[in-house]
Amino acid sequence: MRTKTFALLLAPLLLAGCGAKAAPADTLPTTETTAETAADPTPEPAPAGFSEVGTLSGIPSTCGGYWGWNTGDAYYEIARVGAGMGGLLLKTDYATGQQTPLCNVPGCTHDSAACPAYQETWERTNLLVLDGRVYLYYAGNDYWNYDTGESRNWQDHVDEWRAQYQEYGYAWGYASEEEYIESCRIDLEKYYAPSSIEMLNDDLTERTTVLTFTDDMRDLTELYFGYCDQNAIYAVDGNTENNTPGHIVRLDIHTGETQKIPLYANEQVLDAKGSRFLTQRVISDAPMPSYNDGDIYRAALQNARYEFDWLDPQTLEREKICDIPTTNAPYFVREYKGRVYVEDNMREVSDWGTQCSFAYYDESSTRTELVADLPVNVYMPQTDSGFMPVFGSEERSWIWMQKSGADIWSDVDYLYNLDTGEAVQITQKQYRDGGNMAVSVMAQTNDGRWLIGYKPHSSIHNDRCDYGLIDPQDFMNGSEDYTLVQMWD
Amino acid sequence: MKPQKPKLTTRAAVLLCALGVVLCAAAPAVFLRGADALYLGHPQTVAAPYAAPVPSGDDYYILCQLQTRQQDQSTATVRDPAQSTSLDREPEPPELTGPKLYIGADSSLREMKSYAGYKTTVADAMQSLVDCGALPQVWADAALDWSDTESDYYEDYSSSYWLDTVYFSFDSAGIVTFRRYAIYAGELRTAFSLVMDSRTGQVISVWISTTESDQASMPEATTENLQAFLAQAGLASLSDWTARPDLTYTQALYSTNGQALVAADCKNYAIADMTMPYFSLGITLCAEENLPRRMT
Repeated sequence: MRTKTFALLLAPLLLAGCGAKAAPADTLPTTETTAETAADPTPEPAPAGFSEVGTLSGIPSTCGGYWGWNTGDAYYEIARVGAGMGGLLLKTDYATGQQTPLCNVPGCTHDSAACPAYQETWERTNLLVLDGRVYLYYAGNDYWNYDTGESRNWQDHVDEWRAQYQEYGYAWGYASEEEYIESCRIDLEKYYAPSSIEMLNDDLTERTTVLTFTDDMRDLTELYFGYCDQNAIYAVDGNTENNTPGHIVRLDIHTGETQKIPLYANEQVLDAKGSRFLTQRVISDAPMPSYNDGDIYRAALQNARYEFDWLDPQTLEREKICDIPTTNAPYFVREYKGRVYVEDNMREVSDWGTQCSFAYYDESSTRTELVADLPVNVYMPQTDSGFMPVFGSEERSWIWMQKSGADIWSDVDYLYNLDTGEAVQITQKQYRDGGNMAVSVMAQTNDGRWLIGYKPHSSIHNDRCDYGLIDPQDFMNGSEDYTLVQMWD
Repeated sequence: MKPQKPKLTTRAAVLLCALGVVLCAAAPAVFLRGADALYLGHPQTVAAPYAAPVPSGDDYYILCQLQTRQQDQSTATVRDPAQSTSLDREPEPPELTGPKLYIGADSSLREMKSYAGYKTTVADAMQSLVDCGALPQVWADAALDWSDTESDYYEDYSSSYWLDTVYFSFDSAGIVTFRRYAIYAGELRTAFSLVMDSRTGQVISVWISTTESDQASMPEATTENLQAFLAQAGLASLSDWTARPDLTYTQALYSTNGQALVAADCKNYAIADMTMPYFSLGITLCAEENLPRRMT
């Protein structure tokens, strides 16, 4: 009994001894405790620029024959032909003075899909000439991969088209019901086709598709590709005007690879030169309000400035050109020799007329006024229309001013020389759309001549021009002594 | 006769029991000391030591609300079936007419509803901002000066509007915008705009203008105002708010963890050839890569 009692009393000590032999250290997994364990999370990698960028250029709106692509040696365009939406790729060679289809197929009549220059429809198609090759970019509708509820089988629409032709066909100029139905079929199939890029081969005997937008490229269909270099086309993605950061998207036309670089909120792309983009952004002391906020937005804008930068899309570095106040409501016209040219000081001078001043800002952000009172309602086309530069060449000092009057009889066009400040009125006229309007200054050639569209090609195809070449000084002196281009018909 | 074993006396038994109790009481201490001795001075590494998590924007309610607002908005807006009129009336429940996506709030006088009862709400919110140090008192007083208008009515081409009231609109995330409008130099102006979360009362942004002619008497925001403002929004614990002199924003703090910015501005602006000062203070989301850098 005593022994048992003593043993019981000793039990805690024994247990303590056992307890002292707790889990041995070598049964615990070991890991080096690193300094990063408790540190900040891994920062996001800095955005990368484009892997390659060539010589950038704006893509002129060649869709529908409004403008063409000038290489300095030739003028390429999509001409409207036929009664429907058919198009034909034409080249005007400055040296020979000849306009010809981009087709070398022997015996080709250039009126069917067998011809590499023929297009069933010119709609939504832009022409690009890159490294001497001709490409066509067709911008598909963003409906092409969505269920619109409409049958995509053209045969399901024949009865409807037949009824349309019977009611209106005589006024539309189609030779027959079959011709109209064929035109509708082409439109429908093109409407639902995905975006694609085609290329003419070097001997102009064939046109092949080099890229078709696939399902994972659907978002690109909604973008407008306004710039290009030798291997890619570029678009701005996102609402860049209302505090939403956007991106510049690069699409390699040979591989289909896409890349993106970020833009600041309220940053817009205005132009491209060399391998850089010209951008404009709003500089403010606090994030800009939404422009839907009325006077709150206007108050912030009054105190902000517009900054113009050159953006290198490969390094993402920006080089500031200048910054200008917003208070004169400046409207960007162009950049030339390091200066930013704007229309500003807009004021209403009548119920139907507004008038602006024309000025430039230099790198010190100093404003120099060139013209205090521009003609009323003058329109100054920006860099992608009106007077195409040679692809990647010397800068052009002339800028086109188009004045719209109360009626087409009072339309007046001017050429303004940014180097000298000289303004020359274009006196040469063409009769078009029932009125006399200024001739079209189309392009500047490598040998310094100007390509002029001096009259409509025909009463049927008055959206096309007949061309002539002339020395710039002779033209500004009012001469109409053009070296006529032998037009294709 | 057999010899008898000596018996324990009662005293001895008591002493022995007491000794046993003492030994039992001391046993845990002895055990623990022994266990400690095995570990003290013998550091061991562990696989995943506990590390305090780094806060991010997703951890904060108000920043999540701001992320919701950045979503694409539907074309439908929260609209009363009857258009707002010039008379005060009790607000009717809004009727959603679009798909159930994020729906932004109306932001113009013609589309917002009005309710004078919100004057108290706004006054309380403004005073709270003053009390916490986010808003100078003189600006709150300017915002709530209902007499600072040339007229209590505004007419445009389609309707007339009563201005001695609070105009408001909700978005589908529950964020409410309150506005006061006034007439100055014959023009309609926004006297204040207050954007706040309707569930928590946290203020996201405040904008105030005044016709005060002594513009020098209207103070600019200070860093303390910004810190107090983000604190009332529950964001102080992000703890990495930093001034960024590399940005175009002159009075701002940025949190890398929250990808958020609080910024203030105090300037003059012109309306109908008259100038007046305004004060703005607000929180926005901005990823590091999108911060506007200052160009030299």
